Amino acid sequence: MNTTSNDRRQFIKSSAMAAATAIATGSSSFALPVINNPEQSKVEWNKAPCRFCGTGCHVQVGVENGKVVAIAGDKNADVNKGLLCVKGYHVGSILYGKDRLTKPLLRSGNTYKAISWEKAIDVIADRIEANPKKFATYGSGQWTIPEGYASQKLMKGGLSNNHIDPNARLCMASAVTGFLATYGVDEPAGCYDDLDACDVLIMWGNNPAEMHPILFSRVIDRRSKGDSIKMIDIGTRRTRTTEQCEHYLEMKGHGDLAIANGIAHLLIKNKTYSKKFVDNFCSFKAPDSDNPNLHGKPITFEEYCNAVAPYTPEYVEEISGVPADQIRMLGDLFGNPDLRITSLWCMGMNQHTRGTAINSMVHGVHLLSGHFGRPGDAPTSLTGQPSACGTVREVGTLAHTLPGGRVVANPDHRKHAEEFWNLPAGQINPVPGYHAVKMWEQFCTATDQGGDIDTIWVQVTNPGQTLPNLNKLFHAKEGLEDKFLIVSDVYPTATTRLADLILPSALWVEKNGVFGNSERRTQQWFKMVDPPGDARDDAWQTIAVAHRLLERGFPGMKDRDGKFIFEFKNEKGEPVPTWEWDHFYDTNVDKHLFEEYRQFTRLKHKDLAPYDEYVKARGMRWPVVQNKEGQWQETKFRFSEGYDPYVEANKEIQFYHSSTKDDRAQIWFNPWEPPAEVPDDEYPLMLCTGRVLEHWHSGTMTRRVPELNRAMPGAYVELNPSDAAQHGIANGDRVRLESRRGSVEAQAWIAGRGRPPVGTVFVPFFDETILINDLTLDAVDPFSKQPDYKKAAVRIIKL
Amino acid sequence: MIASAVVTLDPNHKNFESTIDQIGDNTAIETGQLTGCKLPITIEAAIPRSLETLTRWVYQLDGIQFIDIVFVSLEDTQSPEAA
Repeated sequence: MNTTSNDRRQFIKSSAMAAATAIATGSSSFALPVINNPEQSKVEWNKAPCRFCGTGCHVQVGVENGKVVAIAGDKNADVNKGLLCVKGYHVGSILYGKDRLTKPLLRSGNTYKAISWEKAIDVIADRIEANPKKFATYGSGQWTIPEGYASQKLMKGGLSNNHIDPNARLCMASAVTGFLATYGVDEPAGCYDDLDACDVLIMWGNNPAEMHPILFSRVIDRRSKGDSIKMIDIGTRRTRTTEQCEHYLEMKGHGDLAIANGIAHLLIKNKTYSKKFVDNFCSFKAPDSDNPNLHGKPITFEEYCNAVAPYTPEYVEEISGVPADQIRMLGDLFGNPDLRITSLWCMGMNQHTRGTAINSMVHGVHLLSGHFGRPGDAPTSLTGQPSACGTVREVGTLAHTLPGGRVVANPDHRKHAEEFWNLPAGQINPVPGYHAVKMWEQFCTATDQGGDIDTIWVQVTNPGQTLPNLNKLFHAKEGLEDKFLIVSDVYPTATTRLADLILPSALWVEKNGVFGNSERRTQQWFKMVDPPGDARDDAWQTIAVAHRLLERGFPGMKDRDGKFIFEFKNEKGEPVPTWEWDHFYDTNVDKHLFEEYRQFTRLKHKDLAPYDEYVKARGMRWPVVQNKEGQWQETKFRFSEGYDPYVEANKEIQFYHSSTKDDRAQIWFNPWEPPAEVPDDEYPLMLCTGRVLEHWHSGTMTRRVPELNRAMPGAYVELNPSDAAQHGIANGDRVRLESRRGSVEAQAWIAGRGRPPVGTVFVPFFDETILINDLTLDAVDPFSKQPDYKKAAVRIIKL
Repeated sequence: MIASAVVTLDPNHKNFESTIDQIGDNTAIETGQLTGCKLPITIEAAIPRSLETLTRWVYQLDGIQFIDIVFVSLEDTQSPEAA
């Protein structure tokens, strides 16, 4: 190493130490490493939200010579306050995998040939023109808000086709229906600030130590400063989260339904529920068995009391497996009005065939006990993807929704959308499209047997690995010659294996973007580097297809005034041909799309600020409302007077989107029900699937990072020592896991990281060579249509 | 490749000091000034996977509650591999 490079290395190292020291001491007065020293560095820094999970950490991205060369936690970001989890090492590296897709590829027999973008856009337009009603789009909570909005507008506005659904259907649809059933409007009332104020943190089937590490670190940090926080882990297997918790409540699958009813039972029996909160702000609901629907039927408080009366701690122990004393402990905590209690959950409660019910019931115990609306008192769902909230729930890219909390079945909502989009009245189809599981089932069913989806365009997700029951819902596409799969992605995946057309996409800071995180925070970033080869933005791909259809005279691509539905003008008022790649960045398409979308956000009081406000901020939590001084102010706690600008004076708490139109939230009773599939003599073990710290989702990005891949090279079957002994299985043995739907082979890991209890096994889903979703169940929650990836009956065989 | 991180130590752990010594004895890691339970460190590695390995090594030491990353220089990083 010569002196110059040695000096530079030393300079970077001392800058790095200065940054870490500033964070450790709580100082806000440090410059980013190598930012202010042009003599030693030409690195240019800019902000972006992290590309990985739904936490929404902000990073500073350092770019030099057109390449990302450094990443730093953003000290000005409320979410992560300058810190990053271990994936922060790799968020820059994901751009530079050796096998990035760089050319459009069209299947030709058993191979692919590179084609031009012109040809690729023609192929998609041909498929739409041939059968517009049989065309579907499958998107993602990794879509940026403008990307999802553009795709939504093309499908529901331009094509009058509601067959658009995202992978978020598989991860948080039950959280949506839980919020709707309880408050009449989606998304959490609380935010991450609750983690700084709670006395008790209850994690319901949630492992934030590995899945949302920065949030977990935030709580641990409070402890290290002397705060006393009681942490409780309710789960079906021990995890790294358990290690930091005072109490671990190990339950059987669906035990959470019984536990929630058990807490409610104790609050009423002990008269420790909050009479004031209930009398002033709540009503009661139960399922309507004659007409099952999301809003159920009203019941009286007495009927609610009678419904939860059987759920004594002993009965709850019998059906959940959690000792009665621990149920009483939960009842006592919720019954103590002096405590602040925050509940967190993610996939454990959402990937559940009673997902809507358990989501509603956890909200219910918070409402019944009055642990709601004060900082630290909140039931809060987390998301696994960076924009599941922003792009799916807010933009409304689900098959039954329209932007801003609207639904296609509501004539007024369709009219709003037609007005905002300047479309002829009646253009939007009133019938919801197919939800994810149904969409793929129809695609994988032969046309002559009723399979009425013939083309799916996948953007920013990997259904060939992540759908449940893959043999039925994905692999069955093989051999169906009239079916056509289009995949826009950045790397080859389990999905591209069956693709007929593969489109190379830009990734993260290779394009402009806006994400919406788990706490209603909208976050913007600018393009910083060019994508490789011919890779292009997903939003451009959508607009280019729409324009090709316009050129062909396809109805729906013009608005009422005869203008292209994606017409954007520059500062001189001249239309910019953004469908031509060379002109896509002549104007800020993201800003145009965002400002158009922003009009939709006020109906449900999810108000967003102008795009330029997000350029200045490290995100803002909606509703963002302009104050008297003209400043845009975010909202930390919804429905609470003093925080939420839409709560009227002296109301204290106001659920202003109440489904009963009386400003009240609904406390639900739902009975305990067993899982859709339970172990039996033939399949005696319960399979739970999930994620691991090293890999994000299906591993398409993180498995290309050598250090992550070496740390966790492949999926495994995690099992209990007793079950292993019973089957003669030793650590590292090859085993086959079989369900009624498929089988996989993998190595056994006995008493490993997660330590599942007797009778259960855990397999992570990140490994495309071990497709655990060949085994999982495609049964769905009746309201959210979300499948259960946590409970499938399996058997294990030593090989 | 150079990174920096903040290690959160458990104040109730008996071998608090020896844990810090253990970290400091690793030649790839430089420790900074301990503030309360927070220890800033830099990690230097010739090859990128070592950063991850070293971070995990620190995390598993007795008395460590958490480790958060602050800064990562990707200079000299090898391209990620095909999965």
